[in-house]
Amino acid sequence: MEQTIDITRPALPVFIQQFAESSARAHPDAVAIRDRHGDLTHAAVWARSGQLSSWLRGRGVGQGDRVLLRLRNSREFVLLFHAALRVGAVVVPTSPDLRAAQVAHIVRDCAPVLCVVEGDDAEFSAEGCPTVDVATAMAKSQAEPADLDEAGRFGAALASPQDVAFLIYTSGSTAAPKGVVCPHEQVVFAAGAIAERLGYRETDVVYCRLPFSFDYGLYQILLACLAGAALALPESASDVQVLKEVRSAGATIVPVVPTLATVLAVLATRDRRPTAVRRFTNTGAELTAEHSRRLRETFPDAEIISMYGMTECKRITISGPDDDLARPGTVGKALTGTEVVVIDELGAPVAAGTVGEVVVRGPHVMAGYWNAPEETAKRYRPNQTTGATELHTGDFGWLDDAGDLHLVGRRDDIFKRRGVRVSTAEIEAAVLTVDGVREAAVVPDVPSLGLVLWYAGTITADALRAELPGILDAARLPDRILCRPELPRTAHGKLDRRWLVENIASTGRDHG
Amino acid sequence: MADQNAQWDPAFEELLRPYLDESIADGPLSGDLDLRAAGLDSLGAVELLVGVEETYGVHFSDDDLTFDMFTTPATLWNAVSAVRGDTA
Repeated sequence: MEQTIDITRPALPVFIQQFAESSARAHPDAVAIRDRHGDLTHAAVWARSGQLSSWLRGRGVGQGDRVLLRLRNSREFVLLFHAALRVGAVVVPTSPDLRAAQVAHIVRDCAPVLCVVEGDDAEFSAEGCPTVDVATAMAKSQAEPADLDEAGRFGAALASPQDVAFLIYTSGSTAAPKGVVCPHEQVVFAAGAIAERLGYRETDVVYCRLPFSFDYGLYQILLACLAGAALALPESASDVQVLKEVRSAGATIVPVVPTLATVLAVLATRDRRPTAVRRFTNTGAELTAEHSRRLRETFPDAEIISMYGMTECKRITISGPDDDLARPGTVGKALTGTEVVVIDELGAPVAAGTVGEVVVRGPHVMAGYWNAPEETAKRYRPNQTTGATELHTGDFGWLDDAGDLHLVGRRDDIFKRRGVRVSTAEIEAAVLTVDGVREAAVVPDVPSLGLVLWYAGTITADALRAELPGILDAARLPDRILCRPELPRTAHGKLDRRWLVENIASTGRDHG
Repeated sequence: MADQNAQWDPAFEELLRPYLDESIADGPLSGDLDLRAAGLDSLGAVELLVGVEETYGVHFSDDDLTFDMFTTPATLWNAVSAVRGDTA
């Protein structure tokens, strides 16, 4: 297992924990993190995360151990992220918005040796795992040495590039979220390939409002390190203040999902003062032509980069700046060094312009799902000829003559909402746990209604609406709840969601 | 708290209602209704902000702008009144 890694020249990192050291050496005095407490330099991030590494080691956290971080986007998250990687641990980022039952599943699934949570986290269900609040972690680590010895600096050993760096939990077609196993090698490749397209500079300030529990949010930490750029973190949980924060942070790069793009465009119509934003990058869901138009109208100096990805391989395609103007609907080309193919039902590649399933090959394809060999085998399949692992996305699209990918649809049961991948099965499973609910069917994106839940049972819609925030986070809460005496079934006995949507006017009580 | 309803004009309620769940769309609007629980999300708050500013010809400065002002109909109306300089 001996590696030939020259840690005196970290310009080309092999392990993720080297990113922070690399930026600390190359840009020691430049701002690494900007938040409501002020600025932290790259050198300070390296030193402070070293103290946290010492503290983690003192608590027995070592190679391969899972460390669950249930924290908002904060400097503490970034420091603990680097610290955990530096002791060779596996970072499990989770949203503080997840409900007790959701996070309990994750804790049981990955068995962390340590969970770090917000001080006011009343929802967290530790399932017997050692848990510490973030303020205590920060305070206790203050007295620890920042300079680790060689082994402690990068983990017990810079063991293998195939060692796991993160588990990122994401919803699949089953009711329970699954952890995507992200090894160092794949993450480092993906971060490098994304960096090449996005062109972050040392002078950039990246305003990262997308949560670190969402992989595109998490990768902003790495992308900022690679460029020596500053990462600006949100000061307020409220979107009402987003534009004010973008301006006060001096943000030049803003990663968005369509909702955030809309919020920014609306806020900018009432406050036309200039910003420093030069580039928006979009992922998570399609930034439609209308989204882009509004963003351009209100941020005339900013370019838009469209992307497409999934946690299972991090990123699939990235467009050039403003490519959508020439090729509407494009999500760009495959990352350099990777391949996107579109296949028919029999698995054969189709011609340009023909719609089929999007399949991905390359060094960014992650190592499957944690503890879920069957789900892994469905999604990650060997190529019939070469034997190389291919990721079957379940999304449908077509390639144009230039090799740009255009998406036409996602699988029915999975959708992105507020930047989170959500499955209808998971919401229905949670709704069915409520007393008085007999059947439940969920359909995302019903025109003008949004995420609609139909149910049958004895509970009233108002009472059910009151129960749901206790078991589902905001990304999974229905916009409309409609009661029916019973839910329609297809000939095969499956819930007939299509009938429900087509008969919306008569499928439940009024919806205003 | 209930008396605060009397202080706002009908246009204010018309601005607010589209952002609230249908379950409370038809009943009387209470001044201390929890707007987030009633369905007002981030994007709704931002759109409501623009609507309120246009309707009342006011502009909230960066310092005035907080999510707390969207806590209840009363807090929002008070914020509007404050920035209008209404004391009547």
